[in-house]
Amino acid sequence: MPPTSSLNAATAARRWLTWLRQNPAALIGGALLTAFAVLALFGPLLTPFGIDQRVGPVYGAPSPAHPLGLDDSGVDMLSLLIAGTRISMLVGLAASMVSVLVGGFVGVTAGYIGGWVDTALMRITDYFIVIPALPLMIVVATVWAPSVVHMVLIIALLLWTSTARLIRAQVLALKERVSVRRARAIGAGHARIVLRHIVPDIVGLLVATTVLAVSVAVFFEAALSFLGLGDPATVSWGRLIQIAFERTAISSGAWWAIIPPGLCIALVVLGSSLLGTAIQHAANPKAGIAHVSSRTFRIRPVPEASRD
Amino acid sequence: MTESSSPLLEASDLNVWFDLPDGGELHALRGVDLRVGSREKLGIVGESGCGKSTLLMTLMGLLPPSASASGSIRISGQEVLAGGERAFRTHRWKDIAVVFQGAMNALNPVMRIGRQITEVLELHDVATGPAAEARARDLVTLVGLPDVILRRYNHELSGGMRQRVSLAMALACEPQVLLADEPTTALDVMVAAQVLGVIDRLTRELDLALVLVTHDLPLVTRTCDRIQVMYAGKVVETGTPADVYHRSEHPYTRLLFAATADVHSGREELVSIAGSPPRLDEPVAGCAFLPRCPMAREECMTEAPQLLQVASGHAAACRFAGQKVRMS
Amino acid sequence: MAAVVATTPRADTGSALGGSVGYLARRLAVALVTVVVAISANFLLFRAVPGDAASMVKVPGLSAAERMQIRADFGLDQPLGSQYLHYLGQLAHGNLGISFENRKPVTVNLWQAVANTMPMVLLGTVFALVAGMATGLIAAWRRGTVLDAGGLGAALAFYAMPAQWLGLMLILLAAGHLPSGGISDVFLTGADWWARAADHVRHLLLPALTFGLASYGQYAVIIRTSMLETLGEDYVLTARAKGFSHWSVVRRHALPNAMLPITTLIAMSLGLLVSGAILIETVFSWPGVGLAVYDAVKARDYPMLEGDFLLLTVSVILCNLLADLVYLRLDPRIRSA
Repeated sequence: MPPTSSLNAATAARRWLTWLRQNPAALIGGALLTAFAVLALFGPLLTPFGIDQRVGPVYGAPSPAHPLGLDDSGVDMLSLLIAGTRISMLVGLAASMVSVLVGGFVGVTAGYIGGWVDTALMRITDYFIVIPALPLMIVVATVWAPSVVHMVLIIALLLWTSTARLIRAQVLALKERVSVRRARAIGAGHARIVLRHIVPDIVGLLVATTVLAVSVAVFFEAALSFLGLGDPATVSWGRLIQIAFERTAISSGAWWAIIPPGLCIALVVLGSSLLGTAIQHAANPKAGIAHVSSRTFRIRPVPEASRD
Repeated sequence: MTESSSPLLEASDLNVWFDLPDGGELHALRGVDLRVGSREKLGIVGESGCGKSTLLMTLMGLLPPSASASGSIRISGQEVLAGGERAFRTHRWKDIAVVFQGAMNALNPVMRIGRQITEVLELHDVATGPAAEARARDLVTLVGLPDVILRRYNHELSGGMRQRVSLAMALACEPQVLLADEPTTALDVMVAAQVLGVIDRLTRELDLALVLVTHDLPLVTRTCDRIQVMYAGKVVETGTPADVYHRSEHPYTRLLFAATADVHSGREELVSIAGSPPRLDEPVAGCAFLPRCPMAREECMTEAPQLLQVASGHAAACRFAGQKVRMS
Repeated sequence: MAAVVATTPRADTGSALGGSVGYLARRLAVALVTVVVAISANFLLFRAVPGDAASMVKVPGLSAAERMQIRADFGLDQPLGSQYLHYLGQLAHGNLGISFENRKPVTVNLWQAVANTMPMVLLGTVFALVAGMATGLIAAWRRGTVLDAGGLGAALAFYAMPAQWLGLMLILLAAGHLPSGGISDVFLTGADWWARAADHVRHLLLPALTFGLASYGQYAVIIRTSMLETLGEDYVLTARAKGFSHWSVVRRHALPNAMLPITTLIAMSLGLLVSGAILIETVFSWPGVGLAVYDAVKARDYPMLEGDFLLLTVSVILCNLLADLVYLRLDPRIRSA
């Protein structure tokens, strides 16, 4: 008999595959994210040319050797795009994870402890929610030296609020559940209750929020880089758009310098939105009946087989 | 035809299926017949999930798009099921109105109560303007509410008041048949009794026919002229309250009464019958009650029992109906 | 008729007016506190600059003496506490300081920027709301059909595109037909009012369209979701049972209820609109609030950046307050809660 852990893993994997097959949106989203993650991980192995290496004329058009053409310094665009994947995906993932960790912690603390702690934490959250994100990020980024780590922290600083709210609401509901009340009644410690009875039930929601946050983080990375607030020493999709924009790729007709990085951002955002929403629905299913719809119930003859 | 006029509401061989997300189907109603004559009060009872609420939705033509139905529904002699949404709409509220479950948010939260009553009067050309408002005042008075209620919103009302408003709304266009789906769930016993009192009084005063869907057996035996007991999407026994209560021929009915006898308040869902109903997403072979039946026999496994007439107006879907077989 | 025990309505649950006033007071208080927090954050952030703001100014040809003058002018040599009080005092008089870069009062610069941003943002928002409403409603109504999938797909696609990139794509598409940037043609001096207005509109089209498309996807998704949720409510079923046609059910019962979450979500998306404006104005060199942010960042023109940030924050807070007012109008539950 196989060890239970691998058996469980196999069952879990099979359940995931079934779920993916029933949710085409999740499948597409997952495939997109996986593809870009692989590209980010193994990018350097796939990069055909160096990203500081001049291989042809300024804004050289796409050719068999350079399928995405060359940039304003004659560098291979495909290589730049692959290099940019790494930074954009890294910032996207890291920022969303930091924000979900912070937001999850705040949400669980506020929801579980309640009282004035809850009030105070939620007030802070409220203020962060109203303050427009990008301007605040810009202000912080302007006074802080540009680096990838700073970029991650700046984005996470503004992303955690919605997670905190969602998780708090969920924890408030879970707290009243019989199993939690019973655990309390028999005197289980808070840490134990939170870890054994609450966290397992919000994991789905946390995963969904992380996946959804990736899209927002990638978006903000692109925005900050576009405004020249990214690390000038690194290449990201946002920075590629900025360079193309500032160095007149448009008026030079060099569409190849500008379409691919934006398309990559759009695909990652789309992928994470599709997958995140699907996980959210799976973790928190609603009956989802529409009482009014263009379609109505069907009338059918009685099949003989079902007559009894 | 022996009767002078056709029944107000008649359904025959109703089947309803729901599409399931995994591609399967749930056979929720499995050949149900129903007949409601003028001023008749029909009670439909059964455990939750037996199809009683689905039956009521089917009668109103309010099934969701994931459903499909077959059979026949006639309102005042006119076939409506085949005619679809359009055919149902000509009868809704004018001929057949409904009071939904007490636990439901059946009233629009952002529209004043008065408007929710007058809009239906206007829709069906009963009254408009000041006449409609006057009629709305009469209606709420009829159900025992003060007319200031008309200026209120749903959230300002108590559960009992909401159900009275729903009732007033249902009576607005003077329908001939009133459907009530668990009208007192989520109400406390006193309020439930009051609401039921109003329903009972008004059906009598206004000569209404009533279809009362509930899991509350004592209630239907008190209020109704006829009872249909449903199990797993089928009618398993039908008869007068006396037939069903004192001379019940189906083991499920007997167990249902035995179970209620302990609970008595009528507010608890019936849980005291051991076992659970069969899954309706796969074909049911033989008698659906078999796994829980104290008098099951070998032959019950293969053949599904038909409704057997045991006396005039009393029938049961059990192969032992009328044979005086004792429960073991 | 037999007398029935009638339960009278609950004793007036506080007059409707009292509920509204309480709600408004709470909202106002939150808005005020948020503004104060924003002002203080604004002040502190810019004083947290390593060295000080004056040393970071990137205006070409600024001499050491001029830097010192800036330090003195802006009170940067004072202790933090008195700087803060001074800052608040100046703010109370509507003084946001002088731009490092063009030496005009920040308020003057911002006023001009707001006047330029408004038409672009309004036109774009109207477009986004109309298109988003149509897509969201049709998709919800035809849920599960090809039309739903198509509408949702289009909405998600536009939602996924970075605004700055979408703008550049539109410039590529409209090359030769519409101007790619600026607010007017500088060579169009002798022309009459009509020609200048037409020129202005031609410049407005691309940025407004970009803004509209960039926010369209989000609106469509929000409206579809809340419409679907509302269509699942019991009172919608009641309305159908009453005999209303599908369209009447949607118009009379579903839409008024769906507008509640839509109002909230749109208010919450205002911050994103601001992001869009910054990026799009940068792409199109549209001299509005967003471009002012970009220019201030590039020149490290802190008074401008501070003023702009304050303006954006306060407008978002005010718009949220406005949304609360609309909500109050739409939802009777809040009026008497």
